[in-house]
Amino acid sequence: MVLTGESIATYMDKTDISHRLFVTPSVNRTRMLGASSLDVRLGNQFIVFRKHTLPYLDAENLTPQAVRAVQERRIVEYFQEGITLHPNELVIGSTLEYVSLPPGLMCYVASKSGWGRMGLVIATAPKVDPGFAGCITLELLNAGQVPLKLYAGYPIAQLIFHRCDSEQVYKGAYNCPVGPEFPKLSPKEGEAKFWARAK
Amino acid sequence: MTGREIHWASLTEPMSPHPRVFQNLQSRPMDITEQYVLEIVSRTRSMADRCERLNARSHVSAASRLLTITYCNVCHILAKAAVNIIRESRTAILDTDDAGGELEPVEDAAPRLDINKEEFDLLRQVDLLLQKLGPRVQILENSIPEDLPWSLVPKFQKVVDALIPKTTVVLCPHWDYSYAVHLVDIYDALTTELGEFQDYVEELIQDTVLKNLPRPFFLIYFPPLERKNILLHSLLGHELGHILVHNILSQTDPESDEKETDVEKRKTNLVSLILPVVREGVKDDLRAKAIPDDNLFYGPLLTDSIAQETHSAVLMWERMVVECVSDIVGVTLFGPAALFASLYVALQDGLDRFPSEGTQYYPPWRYRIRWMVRTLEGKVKPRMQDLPPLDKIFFPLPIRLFDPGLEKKINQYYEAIRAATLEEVDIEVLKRNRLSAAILDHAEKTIEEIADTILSTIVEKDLHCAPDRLYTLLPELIARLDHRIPPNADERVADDIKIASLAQIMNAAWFHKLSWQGGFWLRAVGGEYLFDEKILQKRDRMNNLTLKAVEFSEIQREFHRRMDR
Repeated sequence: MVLTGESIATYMDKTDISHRLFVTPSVNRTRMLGASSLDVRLGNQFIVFRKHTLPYLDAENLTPQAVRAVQERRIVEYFQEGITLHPNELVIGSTLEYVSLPPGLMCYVASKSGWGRMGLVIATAPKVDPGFAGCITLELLNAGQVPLKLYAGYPIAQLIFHRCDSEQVYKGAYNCPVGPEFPKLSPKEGEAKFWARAK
Repeated sequence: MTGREIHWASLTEPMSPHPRVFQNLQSRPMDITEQYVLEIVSRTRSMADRCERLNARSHVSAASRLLTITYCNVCHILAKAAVNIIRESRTAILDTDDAGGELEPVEDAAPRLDINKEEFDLLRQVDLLLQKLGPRVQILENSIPEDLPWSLVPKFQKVVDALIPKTTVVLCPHWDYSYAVHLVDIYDALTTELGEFQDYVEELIQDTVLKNLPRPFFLIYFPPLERKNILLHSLLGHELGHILVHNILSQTDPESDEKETDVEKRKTNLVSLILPVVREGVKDDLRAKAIPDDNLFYGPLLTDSIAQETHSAVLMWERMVVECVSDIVGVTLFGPAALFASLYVALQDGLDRFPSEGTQYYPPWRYRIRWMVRTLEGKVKPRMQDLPPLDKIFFPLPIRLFDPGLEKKINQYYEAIRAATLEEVDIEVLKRNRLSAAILDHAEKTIEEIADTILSTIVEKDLHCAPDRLYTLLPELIARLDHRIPPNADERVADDIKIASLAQIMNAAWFHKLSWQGGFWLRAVGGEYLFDEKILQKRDRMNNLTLKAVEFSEIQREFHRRMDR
């Protein structure tokens, strides 16, 4: 069941901290709440690819060292400065807001239509599991024909919340990220050798 | 590149008064001086190039970018000065030759040098300043966002703005394991350093090279290994204390014609006070060494030893005053967090080290911590204030405000620190030595006097970390950290968000961490204990969340401030 803006606010106002929905910093909350969604802003940290040192990304050898060799973190100095995204360019950003989902709530990240019409794809892996806490990583892709200038702090995506039929504990790989995260790919335990050999 | 004022092209423009001279110069073979100038100009270009590259990178604050641009401008002006020094010298040679006068030869330079010694020395000064600029630029090169606690920078500058208006600081990592402030105003330093070249450039240096540089401008250093360690960053309050103490001690009396600074007066007073003790002590030492007072060398030895001991005593006194007042300022600004952080640093040193040349005369940590504890207990405060009522002291924590388990742990931790200050091992160490014993009372009186002045300003500006204000938000902030949420505000009521201050955030982190006492070990098969790596992850997470909270609280405060206009 999709939560309405009113229900989202109710979750955010819960007195029991372990069942409260946190979307912080709370800035102009009333304007961020939609009929059935909550707007989130673009953060000021980005991971960009060093194309000149990137032969390819190999999911099998995605060690932190390998990832660092091909990606670098950039911090936008001032919120007014912005980052330019050229056609077909992918950068990894994140929401400005740190979101903490209670154990009975999950959400999807969706583009805001205005940005979508300008050619911006916000998230290609839009599911956020119950119990997740952190800034939500956004895969920002300019699928349009012209460069786009993105500004930190602008509402860029929306979260659509769903109530789960039971409470879940988050067991994912991303532990309280406070900005965009480098990818962490790991085959299911015990399967790695098999799939590597099969290849 | 923005803000650049000087252009390379202007270097090639001939000086207006003597076009004939330059034509002559161009046809002459280059002598050693000219070769030297060529090297200097080449070096300035390399340095300017580094500065320009640095300027193209991300900066955490406008101040650090401005300093980069200023250094770039300094390179350009040095190049101009170097060229013009020999240009003017050539002019002088011809003019003097025409007049039939003689030039002073350069003593230690190559045989074909024919500019005068003063001007050649000036060339060397250009070169020297350029060499000094290198490490300064390197400090900024190391201050890129990835190497700084970047979210802390704007918030910290706000504290500086409120506390010491018009003062700019830039936070830089350095590999000494310490927090430190370089108490030389960069604007003043550059004005002095560049001043001697003013006659050799057309533009007024202060109006061009230093035009955009705010003053005063200080660098504050932190250990890079602690970049993300919000717990220790409360020591930055101590560094601000240094600036405040420096400002007070370097004041002169505006009503007096004498230009003696406050610290000079105090030192004179101290010396007259301790001199009899030092003299007697030195005489005892000489007697113990069986040097009779009719010995030929007795007089000079006595004088030298007295001078040396007095000098040491003054250094010891100054360090004691400056460090203790700065500690008091740190605790006044950031509350218990500053005390807890100081203890972590003290653990590296030991509590009762005697202040000597080898320790740069730092007072023993136990002595410093005692001042901090006294400040938290309301015993060091501006005289204009009344004694705090019992519900307004920091410890023990107010009943029923915190989780009972946490309350007990924090109170125990504080009590252990306080108990350590009740033992007076450090005082015994200090009293055992005649110099430290002689300065102790005077130093304590000075600490109280200076602290009184500074704390009055802090309280007047409402920048102090008051216990009631701190504890209003702290339980919610700690609960947020416990639940992996940045402790930037109490957001329970949407229309009444209470944004946390830097002091509240830092203390929330400390209280949260102190609640982990225990839980560091795993029991392995066979009964062995293994260090639990998860505690490191937990610590890392706490730092990330807290630094994020600093960023968020600043965004929230700025947003409300601007939107409410």
